[in-house]
Amino acid sequence: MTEWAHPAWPYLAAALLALALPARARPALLAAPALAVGLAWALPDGGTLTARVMGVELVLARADALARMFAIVFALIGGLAGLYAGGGASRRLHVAGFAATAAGLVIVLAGDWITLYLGWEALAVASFAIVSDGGTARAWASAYRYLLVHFIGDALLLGGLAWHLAAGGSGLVGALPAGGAAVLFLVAFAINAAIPPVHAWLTDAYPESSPAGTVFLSAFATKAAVYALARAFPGWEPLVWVGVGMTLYGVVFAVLENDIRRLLGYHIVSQVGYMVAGVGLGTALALNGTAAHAFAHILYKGLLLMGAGAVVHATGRRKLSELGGLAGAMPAVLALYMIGALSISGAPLLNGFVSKSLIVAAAEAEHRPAVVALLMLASVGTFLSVGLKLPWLAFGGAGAHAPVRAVPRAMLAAMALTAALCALTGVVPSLLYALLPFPLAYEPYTAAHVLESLQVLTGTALAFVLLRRQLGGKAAVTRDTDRLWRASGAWMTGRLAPVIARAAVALETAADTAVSRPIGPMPRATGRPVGYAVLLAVAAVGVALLALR
Amino acid sequence: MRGALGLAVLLAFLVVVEVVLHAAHGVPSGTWAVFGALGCAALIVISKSLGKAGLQHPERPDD
Repeated sequence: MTEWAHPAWPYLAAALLALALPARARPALLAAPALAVGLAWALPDGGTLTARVMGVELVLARADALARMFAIVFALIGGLAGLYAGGGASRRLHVAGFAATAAGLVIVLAGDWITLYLGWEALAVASFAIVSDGGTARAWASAYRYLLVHFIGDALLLGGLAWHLAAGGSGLVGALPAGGAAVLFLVAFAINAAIPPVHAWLTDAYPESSPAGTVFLSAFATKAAVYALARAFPGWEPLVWVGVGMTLYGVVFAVLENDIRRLLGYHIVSQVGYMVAGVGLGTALALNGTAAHAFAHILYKGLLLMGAGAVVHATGRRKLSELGGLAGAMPAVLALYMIGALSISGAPLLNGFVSKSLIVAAAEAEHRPAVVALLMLASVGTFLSVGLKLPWLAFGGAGAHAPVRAVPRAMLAAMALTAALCALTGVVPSLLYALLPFPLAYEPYTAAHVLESLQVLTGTALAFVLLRRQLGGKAAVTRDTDRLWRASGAWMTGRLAPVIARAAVALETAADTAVSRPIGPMPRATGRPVGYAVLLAVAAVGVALLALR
Repeated sequence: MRGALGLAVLLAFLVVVEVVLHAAHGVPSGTWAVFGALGCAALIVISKSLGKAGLQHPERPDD
């Protein structure tokens, strides 16, 4: 036991206090994020926190550079989202938002898989509450779908963990040996990382929460999964192509999308793709890139969703086909949003430029020209949707298309602070690079690299100006894999559920008959009881998910 | 069209700067400008085609 405190503790305390404090006193809880950032910053290299729980020795925290980097940015964004929520947000959002931040911190600092699993489960439950904070029937339905999808992932993670431990694997968080247990871990991480085709929970749920809720949601689940992938599967080649596929998948859907927060949700999928590709490349430079991009992404994506949330708050509208002409009414929101948009697009002087460059440079260093070209193409698509299409359709044009409410000062303050952090870590990349897990000798600000980026952005803008009529906000919705689940749900509820119910009754009757007989010698348990238990748990949760309409 | 013209001029300026500074790295000067423009056009065309092919449908009241 060493003399340091877990950064999750202030957030846990804040979540508990938010249960009791009246709305006007809740802004005082922002002291907790400040304390948590300080604790995360001061994490000692190699330090551990252990505890014995029900006879099991848990490594509640193990500090190293990678964990510290994720912990700092998780602690930061929890505070910024709390500030954005202000005093007007619901009690549920404050409690769940701070609890989700604490769960994220538990995950990235976990020294053993059991602790990580507990954090994983807590994050799913807290996120369910955040999604439901949207308060509408759609939000509640999305929240339940979110919970059920994540419970499938949690069941797989638990099954993988049990299998791994039963096979004599180490309980400490680290690279996993190939095998069935690793496959279960991988699928569980893929669900949380929103890797297609198991990604649709993200674009289904995130846009349905309250404006501040979406900011909380955007930070933790996917980035915790990236962290877990970086710990368990660094250098696993298929992840390179999975990541590249994600970057383009998100971009294509975002070009079509009409809902502003759903559009930004697709760009979470796309940006997480860069990180997954970095994990797949697995070199020190690539893993540095993954960590840096996760850090930068949490900040600029938080800023973008704050901007979108401000638009939703001010107009009550979320569809590009219903928005327009907001620049005059919301100039500050537009300016701050554009800092996030340019950052995610990789514009120089902002943090997306310095973090994305690391992953692309890692692919170049490994002589992977196809990967480089496709990642650059995804960057083009990012600027197209987030930096051009969305602001043009929502803010462009003459006169607001809807009545505009004033944006609270707390929202603007949070956006300004987040934008300042995006700019600071972009202008002074050494601040970001100093936190990286491996030593780094990389200079992003060379004439060649800056000119390359400016050319890509300007070329994209030119094509957009010429073709933008093609992108006019149409009142249309995209069909993603969640449509498949929902269609299956109708069939499952109508046809399959009664068959399962009849089978369950028959099984129960057979079991009754069996236990009423005298008991003979018990057969010795052999084989893989863990595997069957997991299969049954997953099947049960899957049926429940599909039955939910 | 003035916007397009302004962007084309800016693009040409960036390519000239690249040539003057010998900054092109492993590819001919202006490659990334062309990449950006063609990549953007390709993404719009591909996405819209996929939308028409079934990825997108008109909004209904329950959407």
